[in-house]
Amino acid sequence: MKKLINLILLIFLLVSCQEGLAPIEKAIIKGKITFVGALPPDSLIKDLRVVAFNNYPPRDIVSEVLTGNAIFTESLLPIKNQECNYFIEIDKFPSTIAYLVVARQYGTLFEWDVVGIYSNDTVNYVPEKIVLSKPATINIDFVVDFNKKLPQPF
Amino acid sequence: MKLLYKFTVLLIISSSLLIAKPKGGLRGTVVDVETNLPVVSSTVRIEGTSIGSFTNREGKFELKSIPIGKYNLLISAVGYETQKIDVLIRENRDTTLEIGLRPKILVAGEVVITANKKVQTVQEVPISLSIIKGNIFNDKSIVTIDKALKYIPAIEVNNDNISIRGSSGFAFGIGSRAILLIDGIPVLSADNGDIKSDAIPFPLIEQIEVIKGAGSALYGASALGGVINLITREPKEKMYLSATSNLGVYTKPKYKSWHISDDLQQLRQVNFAYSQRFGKFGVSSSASYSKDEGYRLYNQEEHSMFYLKTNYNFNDFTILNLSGQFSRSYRDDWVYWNSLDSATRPPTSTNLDNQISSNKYFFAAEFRSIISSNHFFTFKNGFYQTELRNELTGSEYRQSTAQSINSEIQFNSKINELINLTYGLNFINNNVKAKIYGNQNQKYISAYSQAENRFGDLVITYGGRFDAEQTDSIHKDFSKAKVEFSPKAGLAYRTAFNSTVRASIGKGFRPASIAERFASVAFQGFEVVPNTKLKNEKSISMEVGYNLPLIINSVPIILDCSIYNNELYNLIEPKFITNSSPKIQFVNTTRARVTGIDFDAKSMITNYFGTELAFNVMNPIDLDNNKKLKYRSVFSSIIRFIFLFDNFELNADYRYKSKTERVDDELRFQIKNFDARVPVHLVDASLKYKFSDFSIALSSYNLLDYYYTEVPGNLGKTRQIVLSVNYVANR
Repeated sequence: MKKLINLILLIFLLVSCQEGLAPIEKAIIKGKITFVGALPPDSLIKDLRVVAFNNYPPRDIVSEVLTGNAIFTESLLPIKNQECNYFIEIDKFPSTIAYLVVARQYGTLFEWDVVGIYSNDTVNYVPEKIVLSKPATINIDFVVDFNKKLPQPF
Repeated sequence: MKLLYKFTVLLIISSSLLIAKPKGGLRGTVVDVETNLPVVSSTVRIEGTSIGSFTNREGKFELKSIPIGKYNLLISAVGYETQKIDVLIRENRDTTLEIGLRPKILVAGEVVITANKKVQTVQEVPISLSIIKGNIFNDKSIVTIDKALKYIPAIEVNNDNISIRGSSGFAFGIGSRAILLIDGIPVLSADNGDIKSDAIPFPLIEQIEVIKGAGSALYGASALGGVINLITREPKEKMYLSATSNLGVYTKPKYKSWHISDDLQQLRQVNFAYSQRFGKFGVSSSASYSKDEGYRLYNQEEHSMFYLKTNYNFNDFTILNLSGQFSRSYRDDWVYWNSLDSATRPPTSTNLDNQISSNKYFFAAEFRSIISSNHFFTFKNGFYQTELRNELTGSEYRQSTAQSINSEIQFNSKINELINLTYGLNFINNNVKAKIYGNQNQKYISAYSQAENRFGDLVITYGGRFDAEQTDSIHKDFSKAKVEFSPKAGLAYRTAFNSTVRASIGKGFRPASIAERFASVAFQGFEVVPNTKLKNEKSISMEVGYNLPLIINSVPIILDCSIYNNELYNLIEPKFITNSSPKIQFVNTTRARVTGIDFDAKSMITNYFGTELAFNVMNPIDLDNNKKLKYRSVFSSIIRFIFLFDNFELNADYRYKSKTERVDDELRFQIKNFDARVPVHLVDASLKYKFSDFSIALSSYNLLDYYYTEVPGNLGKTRQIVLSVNYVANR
């Protein structure tokens, strides 16, 4: 009987050590997107999202998201007042964002182009890497001009 | 068809009431063999039927005017081993019996109904069958069927989705692969083919029987994975009155980001049950109301239910049962979380004003009669209506009114001393008028037969069922109906030491429900599109089991072990049409195999301490791509303890489920942190104090406040503490 009671207590002890799910500590990349110039017609702007890719150059957005190599914001449509805010949460550390862009879907599910790039290079738009080793909040703003041709990786 | 139906009913009733048959009587006394005191309210039933009587305060019973012949009597009572006695009824003579019942230390030799559609002892059943007695619901403050079923090994319950031995994944309960019956009458909704756990007369449930494995050979469509039969209390001469009040709270989660209010979320429930027999007339009734504020924002539920069952004994061999139920519920339309960080809140875009309201109506009539000592019959009719609607407009407006009519006539015949036959006809009509499914009509016509041969200690059963299913908009007329044959064979052999070996093989099938075929609905970012080309899903269940009662050092132990293999064909599962959009269609996707071991050991080690250990290990494989089936746990176990001291009773349960190995990857587009899942460790405990007719219990569900998900984007119930006050008069 004593052994049994000890066994019960052991089970409870082991179970109480289990932690289960918990909120994830996250890094947040957030900022403002400002749209300049004329907006394309609605038929050419079916979706708009900020996408963070782990690799550069990436394959198409859908494949990279499906394989877990990219994450994106909720749809930013409809665009109001020529600007909008975004945020992306990253919960794996360390993590490297090799390519952070604003992407537009202009046709079918696989037809996207890049309309804004996080880069310090205003000529060749070489992507700027973001290395995250712990939870933090990073502010990155974009200026998007739909009429400007940017280097397209896909 | 209607004329033929009415004619059949009249013929049956008149034949049993008017045809003069030679009759005799049976009377007797049931006593405790150890104390020689009368056993009050024991059940005396004729094997194979639910016809019988109950003993009165003096332990006496009487059955008058029984057709002459040889019968097997089953005498059972709570706390006693079931006795089986052969009795001969002679013309115009009363047979008198003196029956002694032996007190039982452990639950064994129970009387069951579901396995072969007749009353028999559990040792004669060739398949795995689990039983939960209604009295434990009060002990553990259980007030819903989903909570009750969680105490059965190898059953997983997620919302209204019930999976027996891995038969189901997760589809919001749509297209249940387990059939739910109330007193043998199906209660699956006509549109979704699902189980409505809030429309059950829970306070009056006396026993839950669960068949693990395909049961289509007797129960037809939907019994692909198993059968759950809820048996309500039969009115006895002694009045049964119970009233229960539960008041509970959800404690605040450890993490501040999961707090949804400054106050504790509350849970309130009251229920009443009454049952009594007045001569030939018996009445049972229950009513319940519950309001659960939920542990998540936008997750409130409010349910009310009323149930009434009456029965009238024309004589001791002809009984009419009439029952009716109405239930009403309102609930928030919670589907998934905003994110793991805010796991107790819905997505920010959710319209929090939208509620789902639903009504359910259930009416049933059952007529049972003994035609002669060798022939019994039962005629059952059930009507089940479900109504559902939400408060949104446009493509998100959901509304459905669904009616299911079920008529069944069943005969039990003793062909000779060795062979018993159970056979019958069944007709089901599902009619749906819904914005989301269109106007649809689905019919089943079925015939079944099962023989049971006895060779000493060996019982062999074999039989099958033909089901023809026709849905108007698919098969045009009944000549184009799809016919399925579901055979079954099994054996139960009582060996030395009272142990039983059982083996069975049977087929199960399920046609797509109306919802799976015709759903055209948008909700919470998902869009479901119809698929009228769905084929029937099928299963072949095989199992070998062994039941061994033991006594080691004066300690009684019951061991039960099954090895099973379920082959599943054309499983209907919700599937994302493309890899990247939340558009879902039900499709025949999977050829699967679930092989496993189901083990249960229980013992009352001393008079004040008992324990049970049960586990299920299975390998659920999707054979099409050689991966584990989605939403199944490979290992699950339950460890239970009960301590009794004076008027106190302490129950503690630990339930474990290994992490589900696969979920739908496409959910990542809709549900943040869809992949957040861990093994499940749940501890429930309750302490009860009994005095006179009252008891007070303090119970906790998820005592250690462990956080887990069973369904993507859905945090499991956090710690709940409930104070219950219960009054039971049985006099």
